[in-house]
Amino acid sequence: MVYFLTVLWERFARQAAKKHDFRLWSGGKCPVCGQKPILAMLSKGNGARLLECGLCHTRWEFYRLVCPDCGNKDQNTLGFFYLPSQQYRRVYVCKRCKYYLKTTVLRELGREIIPELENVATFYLDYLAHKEGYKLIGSKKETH
Amino acid sequence: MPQQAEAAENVRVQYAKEVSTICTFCGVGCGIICHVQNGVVTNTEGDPDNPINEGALCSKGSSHYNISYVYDTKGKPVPNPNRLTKPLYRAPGSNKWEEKDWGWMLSEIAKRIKKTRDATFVATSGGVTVNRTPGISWLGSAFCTNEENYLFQKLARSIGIIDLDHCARL
Repeated sequence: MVYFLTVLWERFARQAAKKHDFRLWSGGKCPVCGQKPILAMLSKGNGARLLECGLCHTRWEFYRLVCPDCGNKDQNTLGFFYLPSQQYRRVYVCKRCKYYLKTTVLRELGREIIPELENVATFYLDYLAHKEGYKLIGSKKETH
Repeated sequence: MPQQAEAAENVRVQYAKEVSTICTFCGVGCGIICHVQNGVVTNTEGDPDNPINEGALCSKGSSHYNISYVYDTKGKPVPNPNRLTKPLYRAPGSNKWEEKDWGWMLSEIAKRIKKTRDATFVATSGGVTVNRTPGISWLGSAFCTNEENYLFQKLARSIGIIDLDHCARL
């Protein structure tokens, strides 16, 4: 049921992206459908954080040092964890709202990613994040 | 699957904080993000949220990290062995640096300033009193505060130095 919705939302989002400049959007929720992001990327150019929506696959820029869910700006309770063997994947966490967000560092990886595939391929990071006590920041499953 | 699950149980994740700061070099004041692990800065990069530089850094700002640390072969930060920790002196015509103590250094600097100033002092020029010494130049530092740099240039001008500059102009 939810995947069927993605097909509709994705087409709508593509049309919306043509009419609106998402650089003017500074919220943590998707500017098109209001869902939380499912994955993040740090862009190759200047390391800006790009969030990808779980439902309509809209991509928009968001702050690096602010939690997309609760707006926490305290740098002592933000941060990320990573596996020392993989420098190009991080899991950004917020200790205040206990949400996590998987992030791929495109500068380290050296190539583009397909976020849906990256999300599936990094299932072990979801497991580790749950083990560390964090909840997923936003996913299609949350609508159930 | 159980074997992989067991291996996953033993995996240790490494935490890091991202802390924003400002570059200490020139007056532009670009934003820098430092990665801090266990109280040690392990990496620096430009801060993309900062409207001044939007994530970009010049060559000095990019190498800011190496003032204190370098990476060893395993990728761990170690104190940079090229850091100066003692005053060094190279005699004219010599090709090696000798360690000296601060007392010797400071009195030697004062002696040479006096000597050069006396040798190159110009009292009047074209009938006008100038009281300057074109034989000495003085370089300010972006690592010092504005207040310290103000005192430096007051001291330099008071002994007649006219060739004043600052490392931010390079």
